[in-house]
Amino acid sequence: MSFPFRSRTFLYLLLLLGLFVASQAMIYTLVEWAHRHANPYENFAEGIMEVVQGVGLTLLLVPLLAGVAWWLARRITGPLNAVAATAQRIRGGQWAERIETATMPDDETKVLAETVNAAFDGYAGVLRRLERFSGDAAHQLRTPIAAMRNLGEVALSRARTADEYREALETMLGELDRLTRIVEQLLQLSRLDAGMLKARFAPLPLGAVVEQVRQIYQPLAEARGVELAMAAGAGARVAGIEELLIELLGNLVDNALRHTPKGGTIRIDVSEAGGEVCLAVTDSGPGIPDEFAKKIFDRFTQVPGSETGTAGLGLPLAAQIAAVHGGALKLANPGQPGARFECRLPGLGPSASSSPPADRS
Amino acid sequence: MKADEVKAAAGILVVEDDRRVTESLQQGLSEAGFAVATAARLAAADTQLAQEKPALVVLDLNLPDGDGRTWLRRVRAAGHRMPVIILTARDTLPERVAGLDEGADDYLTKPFAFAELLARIRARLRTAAAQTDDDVLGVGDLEIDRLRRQVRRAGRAVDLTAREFDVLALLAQWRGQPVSRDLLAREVWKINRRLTPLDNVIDVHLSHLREKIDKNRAAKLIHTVRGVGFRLAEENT
Repeated sequence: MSFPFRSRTFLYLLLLLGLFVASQAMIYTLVEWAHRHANPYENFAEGIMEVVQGVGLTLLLVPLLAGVAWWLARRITGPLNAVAATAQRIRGGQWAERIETATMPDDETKVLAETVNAAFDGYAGVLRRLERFSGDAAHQLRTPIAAMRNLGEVALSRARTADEYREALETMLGELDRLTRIVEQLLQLSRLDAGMLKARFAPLPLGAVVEQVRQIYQPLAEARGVELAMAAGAGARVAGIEELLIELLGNLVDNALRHTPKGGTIRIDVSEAGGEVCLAVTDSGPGIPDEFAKKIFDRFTQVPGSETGTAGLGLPLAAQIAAVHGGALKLANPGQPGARFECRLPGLGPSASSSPPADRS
Repeated sequence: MKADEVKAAAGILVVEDDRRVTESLQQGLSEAGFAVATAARLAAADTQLAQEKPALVVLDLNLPDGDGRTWLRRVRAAGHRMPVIILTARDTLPERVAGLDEGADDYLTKPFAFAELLARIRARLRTAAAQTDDDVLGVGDLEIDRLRRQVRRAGRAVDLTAREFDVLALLAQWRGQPVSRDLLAREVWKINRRLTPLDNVIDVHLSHLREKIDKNRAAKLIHTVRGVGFRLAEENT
Protein backbone atom coordinates (compact mmCIF):
# COMPACT_ATOMS: atom_id res chain seq x y z
CA MET A 1 0.00 0.00 0.00
CA SER A 2 2.82 2.39 0.87
CA PHE A 3 5.21 0.98 -1.77
CA PRO A 4 3.67 2.55 -4.92
CA PHE A 5 4.04 5.99 -3.38
CA ARG A 6 7.74 5.46 -2.82
CA SER A 7 8.15 4.04 -6.34
CA ARG A 8 6.20 6.95 -7.74
CA THR A 9 8.42 9.46 -5.97
CA PHE A 10 11.46 7.56 -7.22
CA LEU A 11 10.10 7.60 -10.78
CA TYR A 12 9.42 11.33 -10.57
CA LEU A 13 13.00 11.90 -9.45
CA LEU A 14 14.29 9.68 -12.29
CA LEU A 15 12.14 11.60 -14.75
CA LEU A 16 13.65 14.81 -13.44
CA LEU A 17 17.09 13.30 -13.88
CA GLY A 18 16.28 12.25 -17.47
CA LEU A 19 14.95 15.70 -18.25
CA PHE A 20 18.15 17.13 -16.83
CA VAL A 21 20.38 14.91 -19.00
CA ALA A 22 18.25 15.60 -22.10
CA SER A 23 18.31 19.35 -21.58
CA GLN A 24 22.06 19.16 -20.99
CA ALA A 25 22.54 17.39 -24.34
CA MET A 26 20.30 19.95 -26.02
CA ILE A 27 22.17 22.88 -24.53
CA TYR A 28 25.55 21.39 -25.52
CA THR A 29 24.29 20.83 -29.05
CA LEU A 30 22.93 24.36 -29.26
CA VAL A 31 26.17 25.81 -27.92
CA GLU A 32 28.14 23.70 -30.40
CA TRP A 33 25.86 24.80 -33.26
CA ALA A 34 26.28 28.49 -32.32
CA HIS A 35 30.01 27.95 -32.00
CA ARG A 36 30.17 26.47 -35.52
CA HIS A 37 28.25 29.45 -36.87
CA ALA A 38 30.82 31.81 -35.38
CA ASN A 39 33.82 29.76 -36.57
CA PRO A 40 32.72 28.05 -39.81
CA TYR A 41 36.14 26.48 -40.42
CA GLU A 42 36.37 24.37 -37.26
CA ASN A 43 35.69 20.66 -37.52
CA PHE A 44 32.00 20.03 -36.78
CA ALA A 45 32.44 16.32 -36.15
CA GLU A 46 34.96 17.11 -33.48
CA GLY A 47 32.52 19.45 -31.81
CA ILE A 48 29.79 16.80 -31.79
CA MET A 49 32.21 14.37 -30.21
CA GLU A 50 32.68 16.85 -27.41
CA VAL A 51 28.93 16.95 -26.84
CA VAL A 52 28.72 13.15 -26.83
CA GLN A 53 31.55 12.97 -24.34
CA GLY A 54 29.96 15.55 -22.09
CA VAL A 55 26.58 13.84 -22.13
CA GLY A 56 28.19 10.43 -21.86
CA LEU A 57 29.99 11.47 -18.70
CA THR A 58 26.71 12.66 -17.24
CA LEU A 59 25.10 9.34 -18.24
CA LEU A 60 27.81 7.56 -16.35
CA LEU A 61 26.72 9.46 -13.29
CA VAL A 62 23.07 8.41 -13.79
CA PRO A 63 23.23 5.17 -11.73
CA LEU A 64 24.75 7.13 -8.86
CA LEU A 65 22.12 9.86 -9.19
CA ALA A 66 19.40 7.21 -9.41
CA GLY A 67 20.73 5.79 -6.15
CA VAL A 68 20.43 9.24 -4.59
CA ALA A 69 16.90 9.50 -6.03
CA TRP A 70 15.96 6.15 -4.45
CA TRP A 71 17.35 7.28 -1.11
CA LEU A 72 15.47 10.58 -1.37
CA ALA A 73 12.23 8.78 -2.26
CA ARG A 74 12.64 6.61 0.84
CA ARG A 75 13.30 9.62 2.99
CA ILE A 76 10.22 11.48 1.76
CA THR A 77 7.86 8.51 2.05
CA GLY A 78 9.47 6.88 5.08
CA PRO A 79 7.39 8.64 7.75
CA LEU A 80 4.25 7.84 5.79
CA ASN A 81 5.23 4.19 5.73
CA ALA A 82 5.73 4.35 9.49
CA VAL A 83 2.24 5.85 9.88
CA ALA A 84 0.77 3.17 7.66
CA ALA A 85 2.63 0.36 9.40
CA THR A 86 1.51 1.50 12.85
CA ALA A 87 -2.05 1.98 11.65
CA GLN A 88 -1.93 -1.56 10.28
CA ARG A 89 -0.72 -2.93 13.59
CA ILE A 90 -3.46 -1.02 15.44
CA ARG A 91 -6.02 -2.38 13.01
CA GLY A 92 -4.59 -5.82 13.65
CA GLY A 93 -5.63 -5.60 17.29
CA GLN A 94 -2.80 -3.78 19.06
CA TRP A 95 -5.14 -1.03 20.18
CA ALA A 96 -2.67 0.63 22.53
CA GLU A 97 -0.04 1.28 19.87
CA ARG A 98 0.49 4.80 18.55
CA ILE A 99 2.67 6.35 15.82
CA GLU A 100 5.97 7.61 17.21
CA THR A 101 5.89 11.38 16.57
CA ALA A 102 8.67 12.55 18.90
CA THR A 103 11.43 11.83 16.35
CA MET A 104 9.52 13.24 13.41
CA PRO A 105 10.48 16.59 11.88
CA ASP A 106 7.98 19.36 12.53
CA ASP A 107 6.17 19.13 9.21
CA GLU A 108 2.97 17.95 7.53
CA THR A 109 3.85 14.32 8.14
CA LYS A 110 3.95 14.94 11.88
CA VAL A 111 0.61 16.73 11.72
CA LEU A 112 -0.78 13.74 9.85
CA ALA A 113 0.65 11.28 12.36
CA GLU A 114 -0.71 13.25 15.30
CA THR A 115 -4.13 13.49 13.68
CA VAL A 116 -4.17 9.76 13.10
CA ASN A 117 -3.09 9.17 16.72
CA ALA A 118 -5.87 11.42 18.01
CA ALA A 119 -8.43 9.57 15.89
CA PHE A 120 -7.23 6.27 17.31
CA ASP A 121 -7.44 7.67 20.86
CA GLY A 122 -11.07 8.55 20.17
CA TYR A 123 -11.87 5.13 18.76
CA ALA A 124 -10.05 3.43 21.61
CA GLY A 125 -12.34 5.27 24.07
CA VAL A 126 -15.48 4.15 22.27
CA LEU A 127 -14.06 0.66 21.99
CA ARG A 128 -13.23 0.49 25.70
CA ARG A 129 -16.78 1.50 26.58
CA LEU A 130 -18.20 -1.01 24.13
CA GLU A 131 -15.96 -3.72 25.48
CA ARG A 132 -17.02 -2.89 29.00
CA PHE A 133 -20.65 -2.82 27.91
CA SER A 134 -20.53 -6.24 26.31
CA GLY A 135 -18.51 -7.62 29.20
CA ASP A 136 -20.90 -6.21 31.79
CA ALA A 137 -23.90 -7.30 29.80
CA ALA A 138 -22.75 -10.85 29.28
CA HIS A 139 -21.80 -11.17 32.93
CA GLN A 140 -24.95 -9.65 34.36
CA LEU A 141 -27.31 -11.43 32.03
CA ARG A 142 -26.00 -14.79 33.14
CA THR A 143 -27.73 -14.69 36.50
CA PRO A 144 -31.30 -14.09 35.31
CA ILE A 145 -30.73 -16.46 32.40
CA ALA A 146 -29.55 -19.14 34.81
CA ALA A 147 -32.56 -18.48 37.02
CA MET A 148 -34.94 -18.89 34.10
CA ARG A 149 -33.22 -21.99 32.88
CA ASN A 150 -33.37 -23.63 36.30
CA LEU A 151 -37.00 -22.67 36.74
CA GLY A 152 -37.86 -24.29 33.43
CA GLU A 153 -35.84 -27.41 34.16
CA VAL A 154 -37.27 -27.86 37.63
CA ALA A 155 -40.81 -27.28 36.39
CA LEU A 156 -40.37 -30.00 33.76
CA SER A 157 -38.49 -32.45 35.98
CA ARG A 158 -41.71 -34.18 37.01
CA ALA A 159 -45.43 -33.96 36.37
CA ARG A 160 -47.03 -30.96 38.09
CA THR A 161 -50.41 -29.41 38.56
CA ALA A 162 -51.57 -26.64 36.25
CA ASP A 163 -51.17 -24.17 39.12
CA GLU A 164 -47.56 -25.19 39.62
CA TYR A 165 -46.82 -24.78 35.92
CA ARG A 166 -48.53 -21.43 35.96
CA GLU A 167 -46.44 -20.33 38.90
CA ALA A 168 -43.23 -21.41 37.20
CA LEU A 169 -44.15 -19.50 34.06
CA GLU A 170 -45.07 -16.42 36.05
CA THR A 171 -41.76 -16.48 37.87
CA MET A 172 -39.96 -16.87 34.57
CA LEU A 173 -41.80 -13.85 33.20
CA GLY A 174 -40.71 -11.91 36.26
CA GLU A 175 -37.09 -12.88 35.60
CA LEU A 176 -37.49 -11.92 31.96
CA ASP A 177 -38.75 -8.54 33.05
CA ARG A 178 -35.60 -8.09 35.14
CA LEU A 179 -33.49 -9.12 32.17
CA THR A 180 -35.31 -6.71 29.88
CA ARG A 181 -34.66 -3.89 32.28
CA ILE A 182 -30.94 -4.63 32.52
CA VAL A 183 -30.68 -4.72 28.73
CA GLU A 184 -32.56 -1.46 28.39
CA GLN A 185 -30.43 0.25 31.04
CA LEU A 186 -27.19 -0.96 29.47
CA LEU A 187 -28.34 0.19 26.05
CA GLN A 188 -29.25 3.56 27.50
CA LEU A 189 -25.82 3.80 29.13
CA SER A 190 -24.05 3.06 25.86
CA ARG A 191 -26.26 5.53 24.02
CA LEU A 192 -25.51 8.24 26.55
CA ASP A 193 -21.84 7.39 26.11
CA ALA A 194 -22.15 8.17 22.46
CA GLY A 195 -23.42 11.65 23.25
CA MET A 196 -25.06 13.30 20.23
CA LEU A 197 -27.92 14.46 22.45
CA LYS A 198 -26.95 18.12 22.53
CA ALA A 199 -29.12 18.88 19.51
CA ARG A 200 -32.22 18.02 21.55
CA PHE A 201 -31.34 20.23 24.53
CA ALA A 202 -33.93 22.82 25.51
CA PRO A 203 -34.01 25.33 28.37
CA LEU A 204 -35.73 23.68 31.35
CA PRO A 205 -36.84 25.09 34.67
CA LEU A 206 -35.36 22.58 37.12
CA GLY A 207 -38.10 23.33 39.64
CA ALA A 208 -40.70 21.80 37.30
CA VAL A 209 -38.62 18.63 36.92
CA VAL A 210 -38.28 18.36 40.70
CA GLU A 211 -42.01 18.86 41.17
CA GLN A 212 -42.83 16.13 38.65
CA VAL A 213 -40.51 13.67 40.34
CA ARG A 214 -41.83 14.60 43.78
CA GLN A 215 -45.39 13.95 42.61
CA ILE A 216 -44.41 10.56 41.25
CA TYR A 217 -42.70 9.36 44.44
CA GLN A 218 -44.84 11.14 47.06
CA PRO A 219 -47.37 8.27 47.45
CA LEU A 220 -44.55 5.74 47.82
CA ALA A 221 -42.79 7.92 50.40
CA GLU A 222 -46.04 8.27 52.35
CA ALA A 223 -46.61 4.53 52.28
CA ARG A 224 -43.09 4.04 53.64
CA GLY A 225 -43.59 6.69 56.32
CA VAL A 226 -40.89 8.90 54.82
CA GLU A 227 -41.25 12.62 54.32
CA LEU A 228 -40.39 13.89 50.86
CA ALA A 229 -39.52 17.58 51.11
CA MET A 230 -38.47 19.89 48.37
CA ALA A 231 -36.98 23.33 48.17
CA ALA A 232 -36.51 24.35 44.57
CA GLY A 233 -35.22 27.71 43.50
CA ALA A 234 -37.87 29.37 41.44
CA GLY A 235 -35.73 30.40 38.53
CA ALA A 236 -32.97 27.82 38.21
CA ARG A 237 -32.82 26.70 34.60
CA VAL A 238 -30.57 24.30 32.75
CA ALA A 239 -30.20 23.25 29.13
CA GLY A 240 -31.19 19.64 28.83
CA ILE A 241 -33.65 16.90 28.03
CA GLU A 242 -36.54 16.74 30.46
CA GLU A 243 -37.11 13.01 30.20
CA LEU A 244 -33.45 12.35 31.05
CA LEU A 245 -33.42 14.74 34.01
CA ILE A 246 -36.55 13.05 35.38
CA GLU A 247 -34.72 9.75 34.96
CA LEU A 248 -31.71 11.15 36.83
CA LEU A 249 -33.70 12.52 39.73
CA GLY A 250 -36.05 9.53 39.77
CA ASN A 251 -33.12 7.19 40.23
CA LEU A 252 -31.69 9.36 43.01
CA VAL A 253 -35.01 9.53 44.86
CA ASP A 254 -35.61 5.80 44.40
CA ASN A 255 -32.15 5.15 45.77
CA ALA A 256 -32.81 7.44 48.74
CA LEU A 257 -36.16 5.73 49.42
CA ARG A 258 -34.47 2.36 49.53
CA HIS A 259 -32.05 3.54 52.21
CA THR A 260 -34.23 5.73 54.39
CA PRO A 261 -35.90 4.12 57.39
CA LYS A 262 -39.49 4.78 58.40
CA GLY A 263 -39.96 8.22 59.90
CA GLY A 264 -37.03 9.60 57.94
CA THR A 265 -36.85 12.51 55.53
CA ILE A 266 -35.68 12.88 51.95
CA ARG A 267 -34.94 16.42 50.85
CA ILE A 268 -34.62 17.55 47.26
CA ASP A 269 -33.16 21.01 46.92
CA VAL A 270 -32.12 23.16 44.03
CA SER A 271 -29.70 26.01 44.53
CA GLU A 272 -27.82 28.27 42.19
CA ALA A 273 -24.42 29.83 42.63
CA GLY A 274 -21.78 31.13 40.27
CA GLY A 275 -23.64 30.16 37.12
CA GLU A 276 -23.97 26.61 38.39
CA VAL A 277 -27.13 24.84 39.43
CA CYS A 278 -26.92 22.28 42.20
CA LEU A 279 -29.61 19.64 42.45
CA ALA A 280 -29.22 17.73 45.68
CA VAL A 281 -31.00 14.73 47.18
CA THR A 282 -30.33 14.15 50.87
CA ASP A 283 -31.74 11.22 52.81
CA SER A 284 -31.71 10.40 56.49
CA GLY A 285 -30.46 6.87 56.04
CA PRO A 286 -27.22 5.43 57.40
CA GLY A 287 -25.12 7.02 54.65
CA ILE A 288 -22.67 5.31 52.35
CA PRO A 289 -19.49 3.84 53.87
CA ASP A 290 -16.19 5.18 52.56
CA GLU A 291 -15.20 1.88 50.96
CA PHE A 292 -18.33 1.91 48.80
CA ALA A 293 -18.35 5.62 48.03
CA LYS A 294 -15.78 5.13 45.32
CA LYS A 295 -17.69 2.34 43.65
CA ILE A 296 -21.31 3.46 43.77
CA PHE A 297 -21.16 5.03 40.33
CA ASP A 298 -19.61 1.91 38.83
CA ARG A 299 -21.97 -0.37 37.03
CA PHE A 300 -23.46 -3.27 38.96
CA THR A 301 -22.28 -2.18 42.41
CA GLN A 302 -24.51 -3.43 45.22
CA VAL A 303 -24.27 -1.66 48.55
CA PRO A 304 -24.74 -4.23 51.32
CA GLY A 305 -27.94 -3.80 53.25
CA SER A 306 -29.83 -2.38 50.27
CA GLU A 307 -32.87 -4.15 48.92
CA THR A 308 -32.17 -6.84 46.41
CA GLY A 309 -33.68 -6.78 42.97
CA THR A 310 -31.84 -3.78 41.65
CA ALA A 311 -29.16 -4.34 39.06
CA GLY A 312 -26.94 -1.52 40.33
CA LEU A 313 -27.36 0.56 37.21
CA GLY A 314 -29.48 3.42 38.57
CA LEU A 315 -26.67 5.56 39.94
CA PRO A 316 -24.33 4.98 36.95
CA LEU A 317 -27.22 6.04 34.70
CA ALA A 318 -27.85 9.14 36.79
CA ALA A 319 -24.14 10.04 36.72
CA GLN A 320 -24.02 9.51 32.98
CA ILE A 321 -27.03 11.76 32.46
CA ALA A 322 -25.36 14.47 34.56
CA ALA A 323 -22.20 14.13 32.43
CA VAL A 324 -24.19 14.34 29.19
CA HIS A 325 -25.63 17.61 30.48
CA GLY A 326 -22.14 18.98 31.05
CA GLY A 327 -22.25 18.45 34.80
CA ALA A 328 -21.28 15.90 37.39
CA LEU A 329 -23.00 13.79 40.04
CA LYS A 330 -21.17 13.27 43.31
CA LEU A 331 -21.72 11.82 46.73
CA ALA A 332 -21.08 14.89 48.89
CA ASN A 333 -20.55 13.15 52.21
CA PRO A 334 -19.05 9.67 51.99
CA GLY A 335 -18.83 7.89 55.30
CA GLN A 336 -21.31 10.21 57.00
CA PRO A 337 -24.90 9.43 57.95
CA GLY A 338 -27.59 10.80 55.64
CA ALA A 339 -26.22 10.39 52.14
CA ARG A 340 -26.27 13.59 50.11
CA PHE A 341 -26.01 13.32 46.33
CA GLU A 342 -25.17 16.54 44.53
CA CYS A 343 -25.66 17.01 40.84
CA ARG A 344 -24.02 20.15 39.51
CA LEU A 345 -25.14 21.37 36.12
CA PRO A 346 -24.27 24.47 34.12
CA GLY A 347 -27.06 26.98 34.80
CA LEU A 348 -28.81 29.15 32.25
CA GLY A 349 -29.74 31.84 34.77
CA PRO A 350 -33.32 32.66 35.66
CA SER A 351 -35.72 33.29 32.80
CA ALA A 352 -37.00 36.85 32.44
CA SER A 353 -40.39 36.09 33.95
CA SER A 354 -39.23 34.23 37.05
CA SER A 355 -38.70 35.72 40.46
CA PRO A 356 -35.19 36.61 41.72
CA PRO A 357 -33.19 33.98 43.61
CA ALA A 358 -33.70 35.91 46.88
CA ASP A 359 -37.21 34.41 47.04
CA ARG A 360 -35.85 30.93 47.43
CA SER A 361 -37.20 29.01 50.33
CA MET B 1 -63.19 -14.82 24.63
CA LYS B 2 -66.17 -12.66 24.04
CA ALA B 3 -68.62 -13.60 21.31
CA ASP B 4 -68.33 -10.40 19.30
CA GLU B 5 -64.59 -10.86 18.99
CA VAL B 6 -64.88 -14.37 17.65
CA LYS B 7 -67.50 -13.20 15.18
CA ALA B 8 -65.14 -10.55 13.84
CA ALA B 9 -62.38 -13.11 13.04
CA ALA B 10 -60.38 -10.40 11.35
CA GLY B 11 -57.39 -11.59 9.36
CA ILE B 12 -53.95 -10.62 10.60
CA LEU B 13 -50.78 -11.04 8.58
CA VAL B 14 -47.66 -11.51 10.68
CA VAL B 15 -44.49 -10.70 8.72
CA GLU B 16 -41.63 -11.93 10.88
CA ASP B 17 -38.66 -14.17 10.17
CA ASP B 18 -38.02 -15.45 13.68
CA ARG B 19 -39.86 -18.75 13.84
CA ARG B 20 -40.45 -18.70 17.59
CA VAL B 21 -41.83 -15.19 17.61
CA THR B 22 -44.05 -16.11 14.66
CA GLU B 23 -45.29 -19.28 16.37
CA SER B 24 -46.10 -17.58 19.64
CA LEU B 25 -47.85 -14.69 17.88
CA GLN B 26 -49.80 -17.10 15.71
CA GLN B 27 -50.94 -19.11 18.71
CA GLY B 28 -51.70 -16.06 20.84
CA LEU B 29 -53.59 -14.22 18.11
CA SER B 30 -55.51 -17.32 17.04
CA GLU B 31 -56.58 -17.93 20.62
CA ALA B 32 -57.70 -14.32 20.75
CA GLY B 33 -60.01 -15.06 17.82
CA PHE B 34 -58.09 -13.76 14.83
CA ALA B 35 -57.40 -15.56 11.59
CA VAL B 36 -53.61 -15.48 11.32
CA ALA B 37 -51.48 -15.72 8.19
CA THR B 38 -47.70 -15.61 8.43
CA ALA B 39 -44.81 -14.70 6.14
CA ALA B 40 -41.12 -15.07 6.88
CA ARG B 41 -40.00 -13.15 3.78
CA LEU B 42 -41.19 -9.97 2.14
CA ALA B 43 -41.83 -11.90 -1.06
CA ALA B 44 -44.15 -14.24 0.85
CA ALA B 45 -45.76 -11.22 2.47
CA ASP B 46 -46.67 -9.90 -0.97
CA THR B 47 -48.38 -13.18 -1.84
CA GLN B 48 -50.22 -13.35 1.48
CA LEU B 49 -51.29 -9.75 1.15
CA ALA B 50 -52.88 -10.48 -2.23
CA GLN B 51 -54.47 -13.77 -1.15
CA GLU B 52 -55.62 -13.15 2.40
CA LYS B 53 -56.38 -9.44 2.24
CA PRO B 54 -55.58 -9.07 5.97
CA ALA B 55 -57.37 -6.48 8.05
CA LEU B 56 -54.09 -5.67 9.81
CA VAL B 57 -50.38 -6.37 9.33
CA VAL B 58 -47.84 -6.97 12.10
CA LEU B 59 -44.49 -6.19 10.50
CA ASP B 60 -40.94 -6.91 11.61
CA LEU B 61 -38.40 -4.51 10.11
CA ASN B 62 -35.36 -6.77 9.69
CA LEU B 63 -36.24 -9.41 7.15
CA PRO B 64 -33.81 -11.61 5.23
CA ASP B 65 -34.87 -10.29 1.84
CA GLY B 66 -35.08 -6.62 2.67
CA ASP B 67 -36.10 -3.79 4.92
CA GLY B 68 -39.66 -3.90 6.19
CA ARG B 69 -39.95 -0.15 5.84
CA THR B 70 -39.20 -0.27 2.12
CA TRP B 71 -41.85 -2.94 1.76
CA LEU B 72 -44.32 -0.86 3.74
CA ARG B 73 -43.71 2.17 1.54
CA ARG B 74 -44.29 0.07 -1.55
CA VAL B 75 -47.46 -1.49 -0.12
CA ARG B 76 -48.80 1.92 0.85
CA ALA B 77 -47.97 3.29 -2.60
CA ALA B 78 -49.93 0.38 -4.09
CA GLY B 79 -52.97 1.64 -2.19
CA HIS B 80 -53.24 -0.80 0.75
CA ARG B 81 -54.79 1.06 3.65
CA MET B 82 -54.95 -1.62 6.40
CA PRO B 83 -53.36 -0.69 9.74
CA VAL B 84 -49.73 -1.76 10.16
CA ILE B 85 -48.03 -2.31 13.52
CA ILE B 86 -44.25 -2.42 13.35
CA LEU B 87 -42.25 -4.72 15.63
CA THR B 88 -38.58 -4.12 15.96
CA ALA B 89 -35.55 -4.53 18.14
CA ARG B 90 -34.27 -1.14 17.00
CA ASP B 91 -35.79 1.50 19.21
CA THR B 92 -33.95 4.76 18.73
CA LEU B 93 -36.16 7.76 18.22
CA PRO B 94 -35.20 8.40 14.56
CA GLU B 95 -36.11 4.79 13.74
CA ARG B 96 -39.47 5.27 15.35
CA VAL B 97 -40.19 8.46 13.47
CA ALA B 98 -39.01 6.91 10.19
CA GLY B 99 -41.33 3.94 10.71
CA LEU B 100 -44.35 6.13 11.35
CA ASP B 101 -43.44 8.36 8.40
CA GLU B 102 -43.46 5.41 6.07
CA GLY B 103 -47.04 4.64 6.90
CA ALA B 104 -47.00 2.52 10.03
CA ASP B 105 -49.82 3.14 12.46
CA ASP B 106 -48.09 1.91 15.56
CA TYR B 107 -44.69 0.83 16.77
CA LEU B 108 -43.71 -1.77 19.37
CA THR B 109 -40.18 -2.41 20.53
CA LYS B 110 -39.01 -5.93 21.23
CA PRO B 111 -39.32 -7.30 23.81
CA PHE B 112 -42.96 -6.34 24.16
CA ALA B 113 -45.78 -7.75 26.25
CA PHE B 114 -48.15 -9.85 24.20
CA ALA B 115 -51.05 -8.26 26.06
CA GLU B 116 -49.91 -4.92 24.76
CA LEU B 117 -49.68 -6.08 21.16
CA LEU B 118 -53.15 -7.56 21.48
CA ALA B 119 -54.44 -4.34 22.97
CA ARG B 120 -52.98 -2.30 20.13
CA ILE B 121 -54.29 -4.64 17.47
CA ARG B 122 -57.75 -4.39 18.97
CA ALA B 123 -57.47 -0.63 19.22
CA ARG B 124 -56.51 -0.46 15.53
CA LEU B 125 -59.27 -2.79 14.44
CA ARG B 126 -61.85 -1.24 16.76
CA THR B 127 -63.54 -4.61 17.09
CA ALA B 128 -62.57 -4.97 20.69
CA ALA B 129 -65.06 -5.05 23.43
CA ALA B 130 -62.12 -4.32 25.67
CA GLN B 131 -61.40 -0.87 24.37
CA THR B 132 -64.23 1.52 24.50
CA ASP B 133 -64.87 5.20 24.23
CA ASP B 134 -67.76 5.10 26.69
CA ASP B 135 -67.57 7.73 29.39
CA VAL B 136 -68.80 5.35 32.05
CA LEU B 137 -67.18 1.96 32.34
CA GLY B 138 -68.52 -0.86 34.46
CA VAL B 139 -66.89 -3.95 35.87
CA GLY B 140 -69.24 -5.91 38.10
CA ASP B 141 -70.69 -3.45 40.58
CA LEU B 142 -67.81 -1.03 39.97
CA GLU B 143 -68.62 2.06 37.95
CA ILE B 144 -65.98 4.38 36.56
CA ASP B 145 -67.09 7.72 35.17
CA ARG B 146 -64.17 8.92 33.08
CA LEU B 147 -65.79 12.25 32.28
CA ARG B 148 -66.47 13.28 35.89
CA ARG B 149 -63.57 11.23 37.20
CA GLN B 150 -65.81 9.55 39.75
CA VAL B 151 -65.83 5.96 40.95
CA ARG B 152 -68.58 4.01 42.63
CA ARG B 153 -68.65 0.52 43.98
CA ALA B 154 -72.08 -0.95 44.68
CA GLY B 155 -73.49 2.55 44.41
CA ARG B 156 -71.11 4.05 46.98
CA ALA B 157 -68.65 6.72 45.95
CA VAL B 158 -64.98 5.76 46.23
CA ASP B 159 -62.53 8.56 46.86
CA LEU B 160 -59.38 8.22 44.74
CA THR B 161 -56.35 10.41 44.13
CA ALA B 162 -55.81 11.62 40.56
CA ARG B 163 -53.13 9.00 39.85
CA GLU B 164 -55.14 6.20 41.45
CA PHE B 165 -58.02 7.16 39.22
CA ASP B 166 -55.79 7.14 36.13
CA VAL B 167 -54.54 3.66 37.01
CA LEU B 168 -58.04 2.36 37.57
CA ALA B 169 -59.33 4.00 34.38
CA LEU B 170 -56.57 2.34 32.36
CA LEU B 171 -57.34 -1.06 33.91
CA ALA B 172 -61.02 -0.46 33.18
CA GLN B 173 -60.28 0.51 29.61
CA TRP B 174 -58.66 -2.91 29.11
CA ARG B 175 -60.99 -4.71 31.48
CA GLY B 176 -60.64 -8.45 31.33
CA GLN B 177 -57.15 -8.08 29.86
CA PRO B 178 -53.89 -7.93 31.74
CA VAL B 179 -52.31 -4.48 31.68
CA SER B 180 -48.53 -4.54 31.85
CA ARG B 181 -46.48 -2.45 34.24
CA ASP B 182 -44.76 -0.93 31.22
CA LEU B 183 -48.07 0.29 29.85
CA LEU B 184 -49.17 1.65 33.24
CA ALA B 185 -45.89 3.52 33.62
CA ARG B 186 -46.12 4.97 30.14
CA GLU B 187 -49.79 5.90 30.18
CA VAL B 188 -50.24 7.07 33.76
CA TRP B 189 -46.79 8.40 34.71
CA LYS B 190 -45.49 9.10 31.20
CA ILE B 191 -42.14 7.52 31.99
CA ASN B 192 -40.21 4.45 30.92
CA ARG B 193 -40.11 2.17 33.95
CA ARG B 194 -37.20 0.24 32.51
CA LEU B 195 -35.06 3.33 33.07
CA THR B 196 -36.74 5.14 35.97
CA PRO B 197 -37.58 2.83 38.86
CA LEU B 198 -41.34 2.83 39.27
CA ASP B 199 -42.39 -0.64 40.38
CA ASN B 200 -42.69 0.27 44.05
CA VAL B 201 -44.73 3.34 43.11
CA ILE B 202 -47.05 1.22 40.96
CA ASP B 203 -47.41 -1.32 43.77
CA VAL B 204 -48.37 1.39 46.26
CA HIS B 205 -51.10 2.64 43.92
CA LEU B 206 -52.43 -0.84 43.36
CA SER B 207 -52.48 -1.58 47.07
CA HIS B 208 -54.34 1.68 47.70
CA LEU B 209 -56.83 0.79 44.99
CA ARG B 210 -57.36 -2.64 46.51
CA GLU B 211 -57.83 -1.05 49.90
CA LYS B 212 -60.46 1.33 48.57
CA ILE B 213 -62.25 -0.95 46.12
CA ASP B 214 -61.83 -4.57 47.12
CA LYS B 215 -61.37 -4.50 50.88
CA ASN B 216 -64.14 -6.28 52.75
CA ARG B 217 -65.81 -7.33 49.51
CA ALA B 218 -66.53 -10.91 48.59
CA ALA B 219 -65.86 -10.32 44.88
CA LYS B 220 -62.37 -9.01 44.26
CA LEU B 221 -62.05 -7.02 41.05
CA ILE B 222 -58.35 -6.16 40.92
CA HIS B 223 -56.14 -9.11 40.11
CA THR B 224 -52.40 -9.46 39.91
CA VAL B 225 -51.16 -11.40 36.89
CA ARG B 226 -47.73 -12.33 38.13
CA GLY B 227 -44.93 -11.57 35.72
CA VAL B 228 -47.32 -9.67 33.48
CA GLY B 229 -49.23 -6.95 35.30
CA PHE B 230 -52.72 -6.33 36.59
CA ARG B 231 -56.21 -7.10 35.45
CA LEU B 232 -59.58 -5.64 36.29
CA ALA B 233 -62.24 -8.33 36.01
CA GLU B 234 -65.19 -9.77 37.85
CA GLU B 235 -63.69 -13.18 38.18
CA ASN B 236 -60.07 -14.17 38.33
CA THR B 237 -59.70 -16.63 35.48
